Amino acid sequence: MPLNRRRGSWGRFSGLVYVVPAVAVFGLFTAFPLVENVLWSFYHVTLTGKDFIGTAHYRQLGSDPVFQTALVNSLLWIVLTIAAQMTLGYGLALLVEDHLVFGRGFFRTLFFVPMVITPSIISIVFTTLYAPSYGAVYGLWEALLPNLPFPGLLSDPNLVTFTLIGVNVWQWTGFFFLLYVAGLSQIPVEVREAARVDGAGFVPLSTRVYLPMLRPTHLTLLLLGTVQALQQFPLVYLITGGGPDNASQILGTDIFQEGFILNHLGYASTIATVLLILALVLVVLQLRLFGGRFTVSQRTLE
Amino acid sequence: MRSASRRGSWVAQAVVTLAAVVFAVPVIYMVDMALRGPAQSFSPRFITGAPTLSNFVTVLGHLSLLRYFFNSTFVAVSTTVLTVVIGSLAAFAFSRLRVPFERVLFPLLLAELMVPLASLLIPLTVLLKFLGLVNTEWGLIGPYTAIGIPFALVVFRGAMDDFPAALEEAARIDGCTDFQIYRRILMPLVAPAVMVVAIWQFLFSWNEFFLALVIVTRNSVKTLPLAPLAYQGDFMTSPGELFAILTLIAIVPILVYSLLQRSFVQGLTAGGVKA
Repeated sequence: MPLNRRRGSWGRFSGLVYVVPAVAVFGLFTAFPLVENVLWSFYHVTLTGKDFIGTAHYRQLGSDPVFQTALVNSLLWIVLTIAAQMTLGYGLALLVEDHLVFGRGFFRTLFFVPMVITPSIISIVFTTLYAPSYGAVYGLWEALLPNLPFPGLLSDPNLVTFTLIGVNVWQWTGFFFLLYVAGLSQIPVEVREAARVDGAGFVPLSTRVYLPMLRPTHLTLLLLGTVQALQQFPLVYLITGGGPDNASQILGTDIFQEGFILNHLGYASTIATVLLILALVLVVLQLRLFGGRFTVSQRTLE
Repeated sequence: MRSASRRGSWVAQAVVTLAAVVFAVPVIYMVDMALRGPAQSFSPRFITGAPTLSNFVTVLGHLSLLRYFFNSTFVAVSTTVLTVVIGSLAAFAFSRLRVPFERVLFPLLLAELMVPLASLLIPLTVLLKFLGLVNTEWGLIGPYTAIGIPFALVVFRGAMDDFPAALEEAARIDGCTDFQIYRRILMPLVAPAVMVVAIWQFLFSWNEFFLALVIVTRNSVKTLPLAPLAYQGDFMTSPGELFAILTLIAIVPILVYSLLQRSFVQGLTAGGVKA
């Protein structure tokens, strides 16, 4: 079969059959809806048909306070979740990999456990933990600070987004931790030994030696963390539904509300297009700023 | 090996242990709530005494829970198999064969990693409705596979590129076809990468909530992430039973991951041979 021979008559098409399934699935379930979504943002879409309305939806964004709250909150999510997850993940990875007396395998497993629990369970557990009067956090607060009023972790509009971000950090730190574990394991032993012989302590070793060497891991986590924060939906939807009074809306929940609750399909597509553009701009910006490589465990790909 | 360079410190041990306890609090709390009798159900204490298994006995009578498990298993296993097969075939072509428009196609497939699901969810829902896939398992399996392929492609290509072309030259001279080289030579070599992709994809499709919420409304098709919502109403007055259900649902992926944790981490760190 000439198809199977690299330098056969099929020449540059020898690999075509092998990529067809991937391209087909990608085209049908990703590329097509993605293009549709951008198109729809210029239409008034109903279940029966659609009317072209130009950029009206985009102008509508300017006078939509819920969208603006959602946008600001989503940006806040990106910055705070990545900062916290990187710091905690990196610190824990260093300690677990290099400084433990015992239990390395156990801790590697334990910190990743939140990642394997479905968000609908996490949501109910945290809602109960934070509940006034019967939640365990309330109980702890009453025991330690009986004279101060219990803060409305999920009911105070100024606090709620931070509370939710905290839940995300609880869940995703293990992922950051594990990628740092993978990254650290690829730093040659000689480097560690040499640095130690030179008398480098924990802080200089971790900040001046390992930190720059883990650059590919940082970039990967920065990119994946950005997209993860932008695609967050279940925690907010299930814990607060975007409330109180839309204070905790993020782009994902706003799209859901406009598209699936209010049936504003065209307008929801507009917000979704903004989300897509935001993701692409941030990714390109990060690649430009920090070097254009994307890797999983130090393997670089163009 | 690295162990030679390691020197433990009790300070580090204490810090990590403390962090682990903090991280474990929500999970311990979930189990404790499930073990409480009705009298302690609404107690704000973190751990109450007198644990009882009665909540588990009650909820195990609800056989509907089994259906959610079955649906999730079917969806997650199908997605995982499809993602591994489709992803590795494509990675093989990009790594070893000639693909037309390779320089456009590969980055395009990878770019999907950076596309948030919400930015295509609305047309995707309409498309699935058009295809008759709403309220079917395949309405989830298809998109989940599409979402998983870019990550599979990165991991498989990285692993395959580690092996020099000389590896299969001899086999080619002996008359091996491309597919035999993929199946008999490369796939066994990239087994650690298969583990990483399979575990990741299984966990992702086992836990995915957003798409499941909008695509599946019929109870007989619902996957586990939707189960707590279905039961939340019924057990409003008896949180113990609700938390027993949550514990039963959570325990499966926790056990599976604990057993496979070693291969997952090894797969992530494999390739350390390469500079």
